[in-house]
Amino acid sequence: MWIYILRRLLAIPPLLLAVSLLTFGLIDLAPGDYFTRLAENPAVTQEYVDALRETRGLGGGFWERYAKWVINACQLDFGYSFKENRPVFDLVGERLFNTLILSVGALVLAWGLALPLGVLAGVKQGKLLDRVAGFISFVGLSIPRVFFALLMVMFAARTKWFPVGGMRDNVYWDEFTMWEKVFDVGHHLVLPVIVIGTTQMASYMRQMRAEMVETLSKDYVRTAMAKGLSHWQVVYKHAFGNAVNPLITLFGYSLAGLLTGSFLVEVVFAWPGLARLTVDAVFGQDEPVVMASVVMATVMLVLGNLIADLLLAFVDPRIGLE
Amino acid sequence: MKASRSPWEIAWAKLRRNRTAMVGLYVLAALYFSAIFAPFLSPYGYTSQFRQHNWQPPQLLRVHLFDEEGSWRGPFVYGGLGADDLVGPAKKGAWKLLAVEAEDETTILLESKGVRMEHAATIADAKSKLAAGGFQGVLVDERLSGAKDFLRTCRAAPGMERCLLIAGIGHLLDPAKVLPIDFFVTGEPYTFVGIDSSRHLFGIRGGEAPIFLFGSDELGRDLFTRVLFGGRISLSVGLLGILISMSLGMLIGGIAGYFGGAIDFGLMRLVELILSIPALYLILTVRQAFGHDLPSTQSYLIMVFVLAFIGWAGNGRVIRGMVLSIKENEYVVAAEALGLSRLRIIVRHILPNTLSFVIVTATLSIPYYILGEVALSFLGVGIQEPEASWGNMLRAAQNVRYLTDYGWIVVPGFFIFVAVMAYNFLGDGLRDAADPRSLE
Repeated sequence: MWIYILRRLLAIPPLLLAVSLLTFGLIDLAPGDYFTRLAENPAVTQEYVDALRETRGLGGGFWERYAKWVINACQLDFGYSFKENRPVFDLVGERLFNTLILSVGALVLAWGLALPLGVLAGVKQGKLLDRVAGFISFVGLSIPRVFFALLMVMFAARTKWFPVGGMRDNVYWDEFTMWEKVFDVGHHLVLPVIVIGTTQMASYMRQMRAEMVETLSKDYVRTAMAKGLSHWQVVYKHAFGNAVNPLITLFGYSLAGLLTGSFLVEVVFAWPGLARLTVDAVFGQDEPVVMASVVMATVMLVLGNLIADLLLAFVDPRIGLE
Repeated sequence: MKASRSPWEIAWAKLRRNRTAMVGLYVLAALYFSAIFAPFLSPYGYTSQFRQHNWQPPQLLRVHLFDEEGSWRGPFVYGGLGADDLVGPAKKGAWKLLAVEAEDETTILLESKGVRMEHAATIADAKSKLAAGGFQGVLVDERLSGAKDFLRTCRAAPGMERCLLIAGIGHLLDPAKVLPIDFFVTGEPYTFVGIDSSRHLFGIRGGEAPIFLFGSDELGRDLFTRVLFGGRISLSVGLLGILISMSLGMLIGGIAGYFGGAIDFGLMRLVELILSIPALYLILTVRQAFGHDLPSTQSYLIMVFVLAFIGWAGNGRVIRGMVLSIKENEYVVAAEALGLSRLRIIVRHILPNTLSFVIVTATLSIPYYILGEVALSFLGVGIQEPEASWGNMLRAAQNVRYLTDYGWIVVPGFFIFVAVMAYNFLGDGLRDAADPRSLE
């Protein structure tokens, strides 16, 4: 087990090296760089732009620059953002935190709804509840998040019950007390969390229902019933524990998507998370920011997948880790 | 004895019995049909602008068959009425024009069904008019911010019988202006599969006013037309993307699985690399590498290529796994003994066995390409204006004010939803049909 984990962890550095090289190469391929627009300004001399490029580490050959980036990144120094003129580490860290607030909220909502609804739908197979749940999951699986998010923004703007975007009140934020701040962020969270949470819920609920249906047809469930246990006792004590097992892996994979699953929703709701930052950085060719956020998102994805595999082995002793 | 049926016939029979899958199939057929015949089915070209009629609300549910007296008129819509042509119909008697005060005709006092109404150009204007009194109703352009709040105060004000919001210039419906809808009308010329024509399925008789079934956008372009033309792009991205990525996935998966060894190792590391970068990040960076300001065909092709370049990896890995077991079969050994070339063995003898997986997966993955187009266009690096696609049409909805005042601009989102759902229905049905264990 430990050897397996160690082997998987050891595979991460070369992967990150490859990912960063690919990203670096792609950024390099793109025509122009961050300072191209500045250079077009006739008032700015070529020497000045060149000097600027030099100080920002855009001078020199591709490999030289890449090597420099890798050496610095190993010391957790991701350079300075061209646009914001701040250390990328701080900038990305801050945005990362905002994204995590959003996606953890959505995760809690998705799982909190999917498990009970899935179990109920499985138990009440073919009944009205099951059909409604099935319909919700089909809609949730198919509705494009952009569309759903736009509908929610429309709802917010019409009813004025919720803010239409952002993460906090821009006017009164500084005057808020601690609890008012928490409430304000929570208020801004509601709609994006609903969008991400319910769309995620759909597939989990479907899976939970399928597992429940299968488990309920098992012999040991029939035995428990025959023993005279009450219906819900059987469902909770005997069926649920076995049915939920395969979903634990899914939970691991949903951890992998924590940083990236909310991408377009963040853009629609103007949430100050990693998505907006990355989109702007990619289009604005803010190289250090792009590099840092791609690497960060990759680490999260790879670790999430690892956790998913470990969880699976943990809950199901039949699956050995090679 | 019953004639035995091929696996394909069995699968088809199973599919036909699956109602949701067939609904998906029919919906898709309708969507692709309307996309292909867009120039004929739509009343205008997708770049045609009616600047006077921007932000006109949808008329789809306002197509009438009977006029106000209840007599049959065939399909028709009521024409619009606004500050610029309040004067004309007023003369015909629908509205009794009481006074035009300002030179630019922005202050118009008129009477409708015995109620004296005033048209207010701004909310401040409307408020002062309301305070001044002297009439029983106010017409306000609903595009003005605060119009709806004003409407509430107006209705509560004593002596006010009618307070109307009109959706901008030309959007107040005039019951006297009946615009009959004709079929097979002559309109803007277009070229469809090499045939020059100017016939459109429907249109307003004589082209007196434009018809906007789904409303119009900022530039007065017909959303119905643009949704149909947008479907051409959004729906074809799905097909073209899956074609490229599945071919790549089959070929690379086949080669990796068949040859094994160093080739397999190298290709699978490449797959892992692609799969370990979050898709949208990779898509954006790859897209950015090509730069912007490209001609529309080129940026369309680049987009499809980028999506396919990332999409093949997952399927490639599965196909490699299948090939690993298929290549142990005797017929493969026989083909090798016959001295066939390796590529031929892969393409002709091994890959066809993965076909049922490929078809099911392809159907279920097409939404990924459709949504990929939407994401890229929504972010502004996909299909560029004036071309229409479902993604770039939604881009206008990023403006919250447009979203609240002209809610119909999210109509393309509904079409994306329907298309994705139809593919999911069909894909699910195909998966059940292709599964030999499922009951017949």
